Amino acid sequence: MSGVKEKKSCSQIMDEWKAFMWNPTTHEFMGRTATSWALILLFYIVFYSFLTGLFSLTMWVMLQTLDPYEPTYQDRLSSPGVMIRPQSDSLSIVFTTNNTESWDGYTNALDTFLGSYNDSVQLANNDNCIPDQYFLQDDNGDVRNNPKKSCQFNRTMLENCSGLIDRTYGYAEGKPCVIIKMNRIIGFKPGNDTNPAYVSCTGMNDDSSKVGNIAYYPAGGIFNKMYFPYYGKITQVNYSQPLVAVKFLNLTLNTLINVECKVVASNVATNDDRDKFAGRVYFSLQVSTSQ
Amino acid sequence: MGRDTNGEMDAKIKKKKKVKKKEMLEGMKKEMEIDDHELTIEELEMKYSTSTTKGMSSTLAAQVLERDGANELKPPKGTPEYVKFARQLAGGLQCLMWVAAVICFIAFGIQFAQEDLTSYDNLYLAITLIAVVVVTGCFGYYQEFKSTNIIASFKNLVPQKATVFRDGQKSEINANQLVVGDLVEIKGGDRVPADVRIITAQGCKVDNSSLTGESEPQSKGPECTHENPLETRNIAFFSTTCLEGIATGIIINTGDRTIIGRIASLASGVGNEKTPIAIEIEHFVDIIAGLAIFFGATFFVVAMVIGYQFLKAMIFFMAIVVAYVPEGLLATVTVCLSLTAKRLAKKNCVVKNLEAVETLGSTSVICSDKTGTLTQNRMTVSHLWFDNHIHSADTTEDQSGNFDQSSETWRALGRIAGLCNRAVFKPGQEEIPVPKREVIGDASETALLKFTELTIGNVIDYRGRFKKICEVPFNSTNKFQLSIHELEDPLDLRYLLVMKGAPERILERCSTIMIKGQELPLDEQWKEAFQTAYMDLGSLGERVLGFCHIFMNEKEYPRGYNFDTDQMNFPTSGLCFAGLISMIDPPRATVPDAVMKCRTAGIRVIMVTGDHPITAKAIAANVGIISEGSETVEDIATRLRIPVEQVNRGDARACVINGGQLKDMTSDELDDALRAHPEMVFARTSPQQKLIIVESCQRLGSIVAVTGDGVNDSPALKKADIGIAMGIAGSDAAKNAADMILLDDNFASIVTGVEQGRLIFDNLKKSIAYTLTKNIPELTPYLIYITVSVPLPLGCITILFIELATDIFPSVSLAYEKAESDIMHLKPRNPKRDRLVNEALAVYSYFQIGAIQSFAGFTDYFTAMAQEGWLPLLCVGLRSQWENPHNQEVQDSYGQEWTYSQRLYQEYTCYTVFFVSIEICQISDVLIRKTRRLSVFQQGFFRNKVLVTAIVFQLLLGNFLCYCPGMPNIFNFMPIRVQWWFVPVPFGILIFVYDEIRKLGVRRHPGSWWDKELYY
Repeated sequence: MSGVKEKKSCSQIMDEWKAFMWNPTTHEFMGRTATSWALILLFYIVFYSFLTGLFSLTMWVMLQTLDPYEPTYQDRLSSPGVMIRPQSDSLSIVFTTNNTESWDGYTNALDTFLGSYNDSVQLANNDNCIPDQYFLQDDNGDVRNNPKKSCQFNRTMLENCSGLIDRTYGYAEGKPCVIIKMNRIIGFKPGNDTNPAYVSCTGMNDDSSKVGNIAYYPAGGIFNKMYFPYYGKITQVNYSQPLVAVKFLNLTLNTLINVECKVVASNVATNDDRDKFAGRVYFSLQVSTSQ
Repeated sequence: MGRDTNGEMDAKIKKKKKVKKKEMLEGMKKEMEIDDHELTIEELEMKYSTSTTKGMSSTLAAQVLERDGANELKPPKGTPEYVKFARQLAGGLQCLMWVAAVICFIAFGIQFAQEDLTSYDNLYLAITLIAVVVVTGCFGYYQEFKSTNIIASFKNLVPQKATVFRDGQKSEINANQLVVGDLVEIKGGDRVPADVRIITAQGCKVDNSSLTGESEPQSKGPECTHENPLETRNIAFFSTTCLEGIATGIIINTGDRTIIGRIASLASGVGNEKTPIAIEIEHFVDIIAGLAIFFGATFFVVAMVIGYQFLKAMIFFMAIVVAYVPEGLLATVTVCLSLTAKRLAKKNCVVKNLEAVETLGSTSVICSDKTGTLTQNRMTVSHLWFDNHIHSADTTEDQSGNFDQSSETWRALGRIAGLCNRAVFKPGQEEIPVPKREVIGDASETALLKFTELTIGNVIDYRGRFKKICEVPFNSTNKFQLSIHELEDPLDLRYLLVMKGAPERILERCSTIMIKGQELPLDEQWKEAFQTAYMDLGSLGERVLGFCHIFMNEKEYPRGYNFDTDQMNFPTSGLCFAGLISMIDPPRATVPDAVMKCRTAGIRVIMVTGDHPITAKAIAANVGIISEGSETVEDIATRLRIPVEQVNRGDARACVINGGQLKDMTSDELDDALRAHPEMVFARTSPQQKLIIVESCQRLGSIVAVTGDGVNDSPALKKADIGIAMGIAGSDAAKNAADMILLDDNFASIVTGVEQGRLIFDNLKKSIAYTLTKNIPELTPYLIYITVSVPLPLGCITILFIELATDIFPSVSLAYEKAESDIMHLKPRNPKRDRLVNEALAVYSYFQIGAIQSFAGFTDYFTAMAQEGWLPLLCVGLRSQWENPHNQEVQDSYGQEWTYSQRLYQEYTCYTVFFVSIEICQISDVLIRKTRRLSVFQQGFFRNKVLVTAIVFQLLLGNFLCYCPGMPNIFNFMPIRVQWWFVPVPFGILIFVYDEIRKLGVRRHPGSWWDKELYY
């Protein structure tokens, strides 16, 4: 910055720079002799080694205090987020019924997503639990109850939206299925003792009339209590998240309809202004028919 | 950087400038050549078409006024207010911040154009940077505005009147209406309204001290006595004061063309030098800019290698460069300087320019004017010789102390001094202490009046008791003054004749001498004694007067005798000699001590005066500028009785150079003289020569302070690194040219200034080190974010809160830190070697303390992440998923799924945790910065109350930011878990312990490798 005022010729700057880089009279490289460089480097090596060591030690101590099965705090995870399948960045499902290419992306995505829910897979890995009650597998004091079992969520439970009965998930006939999925949170028990959590979808604002009838699978759109609580990926390896499929039976065609699906439960917050995916999900549907 | 070699360049450039200035000065000198004093009156009348009897015609005067303008000094072109404000925005640090703001705008522009706007951080940052510059600019401007106001209040706005003859009519007009050629009358008490060629004069004496620094009044008369207009007796100069007598003269110069006007304009022609602190800050900005670009470039390359797009890498580069800008430093420096300015103002030093606060601390040479600065600028009786003994009188400001007054001789001497005196106090001053009262009369009579008032009592009353019969005023031919009085005792019918005058003339008229009240014949022995005393007093630079009297026989001179002063029909010889009284303009009481303190502080005090060499030398010796035992070349020559040429110049510590000698010296010779003699006195110097002396000192690498009060000092005041003007005695020109003003005219205040200046330099160093340190823990999160792709640990807004909110108060509080050692016993800093920010400071702050702080921050960051479910290894490379606003299902280490918003709040938690870590470490940092060498325990942990308050404030503010509701969404602060406040504590302790070890090493092994590398 000072160079602006002090007019120096270019060669002078170069000379100074050269002398700074290598001064042949004092054998100084960038203002220091070899010994000086060696000493200062040694100092910093020792200094930083010590610091890194201290850092590693504190990190190690900190990691020792962690429970490998569940996080120490869940300050940000008081309420689960909700997401749909098929999923895209814009969360809009737009297709034309008789144009297969416009929707087979969606159905393929659903096929892939539901692959792990095939009855055979579920039967092989998971147990058949008692429905309508929380499946508690608490540790007995210090004795770990590991690994923990998971309940079967069979693809067939989604009936018309399972992709088994109708391989196009209703997209071909303009009655698309959308699968609602609730984020996993360790130890979270949605609903209360009497009522399980369930999904309820409505049209946003003016669109409520355009949504038409909706069918929920499993019946009532409930997340059965037996799938909760979640115990973490280490101990509950084969955990299958419960799903709710929503089938739009008579959408108004050729218009963009905004839909909101909420998880209704006493302990699921759905009114967080900042988090649009807290206990709810918004998406848009447009089903067209080419005349 | 290559800073060291720049010095040479500077010198070269300065030389070039100097050549130009020399030419200018020479030009100025030539212009000063006035020949009006050598013209005869007829020639003068011709030249100015005027008449020495009738004056000018009004019409011509009006025309000339039209042509030349009003007779007043144009106020120095005041810097327009907007320029002053703009200057506040254009310092070294300010420029750095402007550049950073522009970079931010560019980065924002690129992001905007790319539609890659994840946040408005760059925009906020740019706005904040500009806001900081503008706000601190306003603050600095306000500070200077305030002190300028203090100074402005001194301005004398009373219009001046002058008596002028026009069209043969005598009239009184405003002095600014006078024109060249006007015939004016000046009488005692008037200010000379312009440069005037004297035509007639009766006992006219003029005080030239504001122009030349001579404390003795100069008599003026119509005859040309010297070819130099400044020396000749027939020119009186604008703005000097006529003390007594009456004179008429023709105006030969008005307004800015007067001598004083030219000196004043000479001052405005002298450029202002950059203050040392400004140079230091530029050096510091160089270091910062260099490191910023180095880091930015390194990580630009790294980012490119990792595979970022060019534009993205460019934005990283810009962000790193900007992150290096210490946003809070500008505010810190400004506040620290103004705190000191305030402290100085309390001690009667007003600083016009904030940066000048520090300049005094760096000062290595003080060039001090004599009259009014070192001395009281009033003649005071200092010695008396009677009874063959030299008695000293008290010359301090209040003249309280006294001498042995029991002798009969003293009674006689005091009586003569009181009676043979025409000076009187101005009325209505009974309440004012005698030394401060105003007097009508010349300087020595004033001195005698005050002296007798203090020793004898009410002099006016006393004079009333001795009724004055007649008197002969002083004139230059007989060189004495006498008066004849009746005696106090109405029964004693004798007359008393009292006489005073030049001692040798008085002695000639005496035949007896009074010793212990006895009249003894004045034989050779007594004459010798008189000579010795006279020489002794004269060599002290004092003005000596002789006193004698005689009681006249009532037979010869009965009551009602007609004394004729023209015929002198009374005895004027065969008198009785009473004694000598000598007077001097004495040094201020505080000055010798202050000069001593300056010397211990390694500051050289040089006297530069317009007064005579003998007086100057005497005062210099008196105040310690020439120390006891130091001799000049001439002194050695007299002592050894050898010719001056044979004296080894190296033996003479002291040197007195007068203006005439200085004129013949080349600048190299002057440099040599300044180098060879540590104790210098320059006498009879002209304003230009003062300038040359200052330049010479600066050429020798000194930082020069100049003190002065007169117009003649103003060019030097301007040229100096710091000009110090006297507030009471100082002329407006001097105050305008100065950077600092001593409201109480007390030279000792300079010592306080030096101390405060040195302290603020030390403390600024500490403040800067403190402020710089946190730059690294603010920067490393971003570097790790780029290279390792962890979620961002520390956000931009949070950084701004650290820089501009929580850490400001602690860094300012370091300005209240006491000095570590006796700074007044150290040499002034070497401006080339002792930098404000040196490499050791930057390296220690950045790469050692800053590094520890970074580790503290990351430890806390990873702890907060891990405890919320994100183990460190998962964090690595997580960035793209983490920052994807469309991904609501990112899995943590435990298989839980997080929405974008949940992750964002987690990120804010990390910001807060990192913020808290930096805060905790900064508390430790501010504690270690209390000292650079001493242990904190030696300095006293809690001695600096402000600092303790600052730490408490910092913690409270940190807590407020964390836990105040609404913070998360406004400023991205989250209420964090209490235990995360304690994670960085071990690192804080480490910082403290490490620095204590560093200081211990520095103290124990001065000069060692450890000292060199780690002492800043």
